[in-house]
Amino acid sequence: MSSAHLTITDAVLPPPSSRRRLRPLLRFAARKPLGAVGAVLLLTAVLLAVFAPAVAPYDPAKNLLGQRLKPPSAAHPFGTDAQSRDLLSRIIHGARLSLTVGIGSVLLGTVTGAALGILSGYLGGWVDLLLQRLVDVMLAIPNLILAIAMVAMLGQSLTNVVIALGVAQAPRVCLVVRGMTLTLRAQPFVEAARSLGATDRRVMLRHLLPNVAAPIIVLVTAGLGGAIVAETSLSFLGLGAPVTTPSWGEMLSNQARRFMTVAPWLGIFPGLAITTVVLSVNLLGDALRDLLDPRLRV
Amino acid sequence: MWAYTLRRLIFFLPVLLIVSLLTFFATRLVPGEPALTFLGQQARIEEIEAWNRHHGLDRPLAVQYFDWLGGVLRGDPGESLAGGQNIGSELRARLPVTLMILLFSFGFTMVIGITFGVLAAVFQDSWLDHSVRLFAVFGQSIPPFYKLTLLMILPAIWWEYAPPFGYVPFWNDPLRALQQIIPPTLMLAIGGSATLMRITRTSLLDVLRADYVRTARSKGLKERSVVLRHAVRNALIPVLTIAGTLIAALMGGSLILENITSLPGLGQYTFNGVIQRDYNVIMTMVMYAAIVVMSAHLAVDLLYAVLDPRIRYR
Repeated sequence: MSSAHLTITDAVLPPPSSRRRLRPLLRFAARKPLGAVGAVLLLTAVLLAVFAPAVAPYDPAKNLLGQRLKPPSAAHPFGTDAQSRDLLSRIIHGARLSLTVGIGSVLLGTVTGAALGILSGYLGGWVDLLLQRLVDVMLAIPNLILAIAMVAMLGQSLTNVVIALGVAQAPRVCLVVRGMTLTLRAQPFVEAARSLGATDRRVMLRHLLPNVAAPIIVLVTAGLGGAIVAETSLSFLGLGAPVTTPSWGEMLSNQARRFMTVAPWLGIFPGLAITTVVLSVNLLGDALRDLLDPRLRV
Repeated sequence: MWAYTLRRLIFFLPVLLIVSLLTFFATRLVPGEPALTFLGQQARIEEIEAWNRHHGLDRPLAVQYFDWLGGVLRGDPGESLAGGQNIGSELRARLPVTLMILLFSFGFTMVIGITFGVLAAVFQDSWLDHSVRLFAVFGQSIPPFYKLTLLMILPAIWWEYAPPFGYVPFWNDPLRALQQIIPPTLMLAIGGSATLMRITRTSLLDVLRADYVRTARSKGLKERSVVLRHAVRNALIPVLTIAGTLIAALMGGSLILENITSLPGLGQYTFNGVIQRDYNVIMTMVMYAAIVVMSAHLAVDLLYAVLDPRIRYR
């Protein structure tokens, strides 16, 4: 549309509507500044991961001639590694794996856990009994041990790492959602829906699910930090996704340990990247929990 | 109390039974011949059959399961597939190492977490409170393996000092053993103690607003005794709840710690089993880990009922 055709509404409408859309965000930032800092940091990490090839100063796989194990400098702010690769570029590319696996496994774990939690709480009876024993079983096995055992049995692949970490998270979500469903089930609105002839499926999807949505959002953010730590731990142990792209956990295991006295930056910077991302997720998660669901406050 | 204990025990056994069924049958559902992992892809049929017979894998699944379960309960879960060593004697040799790690890291976690949580609540909104909360947010966000990596890197840069890694049995040289065990377990304790600090702080702040605390103050009790005798004891009940979860997290942490500091414990054994895809070792270690965590949960439940008699009648 050329400027000559601009009508008065075109010129006037956009600003208030975009401001109206921004207002809740600004209010969030004013009430929870630390949460806003977390959100901005996390968004930055996601953008860096998405646009890694464009943002990274070097090709992360390229061996730069004569630049082996160089300390941080203007040309290489985080230094270079033993294969003469630029560490900053590798760290930017490393965000891709951690965020993909982290977000993927949290979504898988939350969807499974929430679905089973609603089923378990609403249907009760033997379904509840069976599912809750299964949850007890999963909670009895330390998460990291469960994850590495599953990766060992399923085979080492990106999908299997996501599945292993997702399965490890589902029980906790299931417990929380089940507890809430139990309280909600006894409320008049559920009884009203059922007396109007709503099927179980409809009650669960249309009446219960929206009511547990807020705590689920809180659980997702709370789980994401842990999932990223778990992914980097698996990579660190050499049991992560077998990818050719750089991985933060892997960077900290091999080279960092072998060259820790001559090139400490190899150990410091990848770890700082993980810590920053996990910290930002935790700050955001704490703020969301305070605002959305004070009952879960710790 | 006896009825309650009995009820918890009845609840405990079926869960362990399901863990054993799941771990056992999960390893049997893995596609492919396990023999090929150890004999190589070119193995002949007769070799595979002989290997299966040697490890008892040609018997019916139910027989294998009960044989293994009985072995686990007797402390003799059979042989590893990879090297053929006796898993039981390997466990007994490695147990002291992991036990030391768990003992120290659990102790540090509880002491640091509860002390600073109480201090933060008592001096709410002071600089101490703010530093504790800042520490807690950071402590929860740094992955354990990064803390342990920094433990090796930073002293080397700052003081050209490397903490003595490796393993000396405690009774051979207690001082050196402590030097090896304290720094890494302290690092491992940071994450859990950060969580504990937050829970203790929130819980104590709630309790300090309770009526009975106001009564205690109005009786003219000293603040010190109000907090320590009346408030903290009740505030610690929710803290106790996560002790079982904490043990599970520390067992995972111990695996990473043993991997980094080359301590020959159970975590390293589990890890080697996973790397070699040694199903006998994997399912046995998962089973024992579950038994430990479940026992911790059981102990917490019972302790809970002692501290808060109302729970027994629910």
